[in-house]
Amino acid sequence: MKILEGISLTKVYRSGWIGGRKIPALIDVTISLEKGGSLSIIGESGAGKTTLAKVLLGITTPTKGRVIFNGKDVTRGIPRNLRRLIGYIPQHPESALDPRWKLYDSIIESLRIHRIEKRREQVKKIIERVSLDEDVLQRRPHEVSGGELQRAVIASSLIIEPILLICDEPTSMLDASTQADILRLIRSIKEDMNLSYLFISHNVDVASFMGDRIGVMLAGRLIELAPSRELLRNPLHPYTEVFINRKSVGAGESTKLRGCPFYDRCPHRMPICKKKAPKLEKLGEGHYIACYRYHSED
Amino acid sequence: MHAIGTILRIKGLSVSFLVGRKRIDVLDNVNLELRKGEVLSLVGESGSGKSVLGISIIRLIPSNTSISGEIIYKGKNLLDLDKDSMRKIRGREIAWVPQNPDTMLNPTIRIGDQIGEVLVEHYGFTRKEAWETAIRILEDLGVNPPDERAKNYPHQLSGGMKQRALLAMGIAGKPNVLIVDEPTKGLDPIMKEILLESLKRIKNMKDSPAILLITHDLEFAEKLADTVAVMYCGQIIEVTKARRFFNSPLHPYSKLLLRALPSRELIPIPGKHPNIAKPPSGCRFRERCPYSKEKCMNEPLMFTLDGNKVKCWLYEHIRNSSDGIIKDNE
Repeated sequence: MKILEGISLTKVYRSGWIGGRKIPALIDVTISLEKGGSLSIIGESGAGKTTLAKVLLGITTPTKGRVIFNGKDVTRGIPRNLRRLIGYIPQHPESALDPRWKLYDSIIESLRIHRIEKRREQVKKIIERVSLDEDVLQRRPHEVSGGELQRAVIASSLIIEPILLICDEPTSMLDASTQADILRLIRSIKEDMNLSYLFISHNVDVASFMGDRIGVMLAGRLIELAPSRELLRNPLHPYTEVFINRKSVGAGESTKLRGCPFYDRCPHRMPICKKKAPKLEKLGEGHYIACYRYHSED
Repeated sequence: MHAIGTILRIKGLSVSFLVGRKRIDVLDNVNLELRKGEVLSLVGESGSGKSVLGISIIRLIPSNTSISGEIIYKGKNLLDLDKDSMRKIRGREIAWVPQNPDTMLNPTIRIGDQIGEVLVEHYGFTRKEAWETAIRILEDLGVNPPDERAKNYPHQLSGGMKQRALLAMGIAGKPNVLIVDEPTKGLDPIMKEILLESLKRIKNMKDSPAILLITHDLEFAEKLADTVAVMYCGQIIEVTKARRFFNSPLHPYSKLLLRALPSRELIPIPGKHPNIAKPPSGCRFRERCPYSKEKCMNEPLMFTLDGNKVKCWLYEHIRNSSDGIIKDNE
């Protein structure tokens, strides 16, 4: 059963004088997550990873497309009873917590919002699970380390016992050892609590450790999707290959509606690539790709 | 005795912050040498004191600090210099590229003018000459197109481009020593690759500066460093040639740190980095160390092994033998 589906999601931001300038941040992205599954999304800055997370979380409504959570259409916002089934771990834990509050108060806030009683036992259980010392809870965000802060954020998103977790590069600002610690923590919590998660990262090794499958985004589009091991062993899209092997190909371009987003940097480009962006199509078992090298125009 | 080619020599440097009535020792007896043209990467976890070492060298440390030891540059101890003499060295002889370009670039001045500022200030260039030199420096760093970027304001640039603008400011005064603090923070892999390219260009320049690369990004350090110095809880615990370090480092902490990388085993180091205000007695890593023994209650000496240095009792008996005693898969 699918727990989360995004169907043909498009998000266009408007800026400039009375919104005259359109900035497409997400173009026709379709993804799904099975119950108990894990999906990683990789891509460079500006690829639309965070916009995708925001649309799926119901923080932003998509310009086009639909979001289905647990069988219900939640495109126009997620009702409160479903809201508490989704947890979110942001990239910068310091911006997710109120600097004036003690960590304890931040952690129980979601319990208060969702009017759940039994606070004390719940907090005790969860901080034990994320290995946070009890005395740390009485401190404020500036008084604890980055790792402790991220653990507190994880605790606050898990305390409502969600069934889906959306993690937006939760470890990119942490030291190697702390990162390894937090990643393993999220993975083992997934097993214990029967969670599903979407994990956004710009590190390929982290993405493959965290996800059964990896989706690659570029300039607002999903250009390749495959089981993690398959993607690392056999990347098909020219961009994926570059990204995984960390070759230098120059900086990314801004999103555009026409043509393949990798056109300017692609060594295999053809005239058709400039006219029309290729669609994501199935190539092998669970391997999807958007590139004219692998399928024709129609 | 000065080693040949040593351009900066740090001897017994200790730095303490005074917080209220408490004295916190942030750096403890740091000894380090930077050689001409080399890239020395200073690695360690956040809070280990890396950045404090960087700002101590150019003496930008806050006033509530007490500092002792020596920082020898061209035969002079920088800690003895008065403000004016220090200002002449800063930017011109020793340049510092700070972390976080967002707070360090002036949002109201064009990039080209910010890069040229040091030339107007220290070398008597006119604004026009400085502007043209700034464009040439951007070009040297592989920025394309350099004249367009020079005209931009910081908010028009990507994170990687801003970081390169800071590098350009750093090398504009043709310094002998360049201190680069956490250049990869918040950059995606492709931006890192571009920044790496620029740093390699600096390294290959004629009369290239010696670079002190302060980072917790070990994968980035691996691509650039000639030598690696490891800082743990305010102390330097290992100084090793880069090739050796990334294959078989000496200190147990270094071994575990490398093992935690996503591209390796992603296994965390047990325990926590100690609070620098209350460091453990003896070896500061002993509580987390799998090789810990009785002797580790005493502070280890710095042992030398094939020209590399390690502060760990495991090396007590093999000072000059050809190989270490700890194997990687124990």
